[in-house]
Amino acid sequence: MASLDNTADVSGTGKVSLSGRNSATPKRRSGIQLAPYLFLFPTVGLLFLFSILPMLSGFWMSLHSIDVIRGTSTFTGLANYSQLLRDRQFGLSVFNTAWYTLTVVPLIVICSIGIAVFVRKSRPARVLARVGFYIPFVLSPVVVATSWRWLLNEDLGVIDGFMKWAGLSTIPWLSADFPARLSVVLASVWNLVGFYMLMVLAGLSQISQELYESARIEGAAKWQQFWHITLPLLKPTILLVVILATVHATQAFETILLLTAGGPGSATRLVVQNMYESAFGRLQPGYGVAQAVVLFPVILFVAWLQMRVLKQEGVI
Amino acid sequence: MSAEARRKIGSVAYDFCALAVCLVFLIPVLWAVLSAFQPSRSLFVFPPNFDPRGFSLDNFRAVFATGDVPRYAMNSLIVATTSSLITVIASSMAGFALAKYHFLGRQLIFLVIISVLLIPLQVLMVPVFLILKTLGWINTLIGIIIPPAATATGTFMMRQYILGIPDELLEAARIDGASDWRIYWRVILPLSAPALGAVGILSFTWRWNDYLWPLIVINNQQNYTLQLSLANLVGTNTVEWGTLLAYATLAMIPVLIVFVSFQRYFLKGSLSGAVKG
Repeated sequence: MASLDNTADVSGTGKVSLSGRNSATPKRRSGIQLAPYLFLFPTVGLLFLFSILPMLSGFWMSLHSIDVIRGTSTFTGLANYSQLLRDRQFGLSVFNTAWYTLTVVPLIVICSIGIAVFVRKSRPARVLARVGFYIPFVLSPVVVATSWRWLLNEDLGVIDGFMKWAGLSTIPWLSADFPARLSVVLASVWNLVGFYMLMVLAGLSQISQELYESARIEGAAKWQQFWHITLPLLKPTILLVVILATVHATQAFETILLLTAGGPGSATRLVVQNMYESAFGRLQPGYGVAQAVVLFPVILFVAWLQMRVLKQEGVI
Repeated sequence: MSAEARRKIGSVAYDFCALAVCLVFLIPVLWAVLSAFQPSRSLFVFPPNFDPRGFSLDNFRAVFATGDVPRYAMNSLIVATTSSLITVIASSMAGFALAKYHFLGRQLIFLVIISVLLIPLQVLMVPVFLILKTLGWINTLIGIIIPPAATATGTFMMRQYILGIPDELLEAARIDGASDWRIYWRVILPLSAPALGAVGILSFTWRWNDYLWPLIVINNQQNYTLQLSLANLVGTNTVEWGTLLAYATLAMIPVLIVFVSFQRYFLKGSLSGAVKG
């Protein structure tokens, strides 16, 4: 991979790497040098123990029926997987995850572009937005869920309070199927959009002002400039936003678990919650992991896309 | 009115508009904080009370009656600081090796580290739990400190930054007879302070906010983190809303302080796509 050494600087310092392809490196020129391996040991060791090994043993576990209490496991082949096909709860959680991802990702893309384009025109607005819109992203899932449960609380919440005050009928935000699905999507978009807006702002700042200048002289309207200059030149950023947001969405779990606990019924139950409960609630770890493994190809595909885009952008 | 003055007014109006949008956006959290200060009699009243003279700290006092909150806060602080310290050291060492050495297997190791980023957490939850059980780390703080301490994101950010440190400096140190470790400690670490800061601050926030790891690993009260104990209170319906919101307000203060004081580091983090902790 020739691009390895010519890494673009993403740390935001504006410095260009001085280490070219044939860079002189600190090394003893004879014999095997030990130092880099020792430097890598803590990271690689921990990643092996807590990411790579668990992933491999996850595949192994999904082929077994495991008795957690006695600590025994029996090989059952694909039994866990065939059980999946008959599990309607699992089917529903796959549907919910798809629904959730397909609403959250486009909303994040649209909102992050919208906010970024709106605030970029003046410096105070940009500075303000960088803090204000990013705050939800640094809050913990527990705090986000608590705040939203309070906001959307039936009877006691401020939204319903306002509706009653205005003489409107209230909405069962978290206790009816469709409103609950919508609430979960809204809370997630609110939680994540600031992070992606920063990425879009950075992308926008790469677009040369001269392009807009000449478009103005040609008499192009604002929306024409947006459509013919901003959007096409923003394409790499948008692609990255789509991919990262998809990864975010498919792994979403904590906020939703705390916000609705997957309810009402199973209306907002996503795959991750389903597998968490199989493994830790019903003590069927093998079956739990099998659910994750089934989704693995999807996530792998998204990951592959991500690698391709990052490589194209010269990040890795 | 001159065109100049009109433009000025226009731009001020625009900035106020942006401020208004920001405030509306932040309503869910602002509202929670505002409610935390309301005495229980005015908590459910609409239109709400914005008059500071009617505020009270009762809810915050009630928080401390729900459990050993100072202890949970201490646990959270221990976990977040030690874990992010380990992250900073481990990822700067790995980043140094990947950026400045040529050795057998470098590209392979780098690719493996990057692809760990892409392993979905779902697959890992159960097996990691079993590994922690084998190690005897269930119900210990170590069990939440060590497993997430090595991050691909951190390593990646450090490598990118260290690539920009001129090789001449390292050569000069080597000619002076400095060992590899000394070069790392005396040259690399001081020069990569901004990146160390970014990685440290991001991982402090991740570990402070963590809910999933503590949920899986910890089940005795004395090892609860703030997030875990708050989440458990939200689940039960026995605690009053005012208390919950005061608790949430307390739990968000440290990350908000860190975020506002080190805002530019977060910007760097998100530009390098640092999504996962």
